[in-house]
Amino acid sequence: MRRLHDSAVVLAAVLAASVAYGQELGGTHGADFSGVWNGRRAPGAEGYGGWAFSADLPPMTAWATERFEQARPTFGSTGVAVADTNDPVYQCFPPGTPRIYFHPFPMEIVQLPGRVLMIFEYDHLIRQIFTDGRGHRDDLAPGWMGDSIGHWEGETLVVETTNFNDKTWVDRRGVPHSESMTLTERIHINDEGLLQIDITVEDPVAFTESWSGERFYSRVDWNIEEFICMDNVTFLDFEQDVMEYSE
Amino acid sequence: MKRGLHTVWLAAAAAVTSGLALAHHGAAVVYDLSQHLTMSGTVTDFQFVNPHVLIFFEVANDDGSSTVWSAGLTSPNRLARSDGWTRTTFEPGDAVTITGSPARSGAPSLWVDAVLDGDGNSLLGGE
Repeated sequence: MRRLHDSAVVLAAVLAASVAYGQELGGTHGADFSGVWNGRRAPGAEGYGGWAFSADLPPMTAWATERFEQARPTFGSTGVAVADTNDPVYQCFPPGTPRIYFHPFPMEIVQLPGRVLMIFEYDHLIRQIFTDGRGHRDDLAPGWMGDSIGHWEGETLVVETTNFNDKTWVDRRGVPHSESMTLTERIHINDEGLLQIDITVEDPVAFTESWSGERFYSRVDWNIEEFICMDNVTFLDFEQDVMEYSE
Repeated sequence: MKRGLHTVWLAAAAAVTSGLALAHHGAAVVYDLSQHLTMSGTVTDFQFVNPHVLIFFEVANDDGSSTVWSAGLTSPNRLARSDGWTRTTFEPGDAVTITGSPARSGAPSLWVDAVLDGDGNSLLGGE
């Protein structure tokens, strides 16, 4: 009987801690996304899922159309050879959000009281999603990853991200965005056990209406390893030797 | 020849489900991916480094001389996860057989399709 009593006390303590943790996460519920996740192709996204949210282009304004026509991506109908691209990522600039989701490396989610971290293996980029009830900052310079504020709606983490610079693309086929872009992400574990991120992009400077996409991740038992973009420089000498070889 | 950093890019170029040959966007510039050679030899150096793992191996020529060939693969992280490679998968002196696409320049270099160890075991092919 004493053992049963002890178990009940422990269970009550765990439940209380869980409730407190959920409240600290910034909502009344919350879910556990902790772990390492590897991207997988969205169902039906063959042909574009590795580099774009949709087969069709989003509805672009004249501002965005002009920039899209100047872009020389390595994917999509206007794709060029790597040697001819002006994709900023090939100069080791960050892909930014949400484009980071297209780079084929895992990410780890770490949940802390008041904060959810996304640690991307690709170039060790980090997103901080604050879930402690704070609002967006108004003192930041525009950034690559944006300023992310989240709250829980049941077991879905809803994240609004603002404060972007306009130096990268939304995807890997050269669709631009402006500093006015706002992302709304709904992150949850779906019925298949996949981490599903539903993304709505709004940018009145670049797009005539909002548009949406989705990304899926499988849980994997990997560690986040090192991958540094600038290491590509070290490969330069090897490849140059191969290209310039003469017998 | 004017070249930028982007010409040697590889990893961000890897489509999620693409094969090894497509894991490096510039590979088609440097290597003729429509051709495939198989070479056997002895490992002289194994570089388990980002962005590309490199194997150097000495191949005996018909005239009695030998040539050190290089072979480029995807990143160590991907090889570790798909096929369990480690920094000691190869050591100098190990026998190896490599199939890959030859360099367009004629350099003794391959962009790898398949790797067999000295016992003929395939070391690539995992997901």
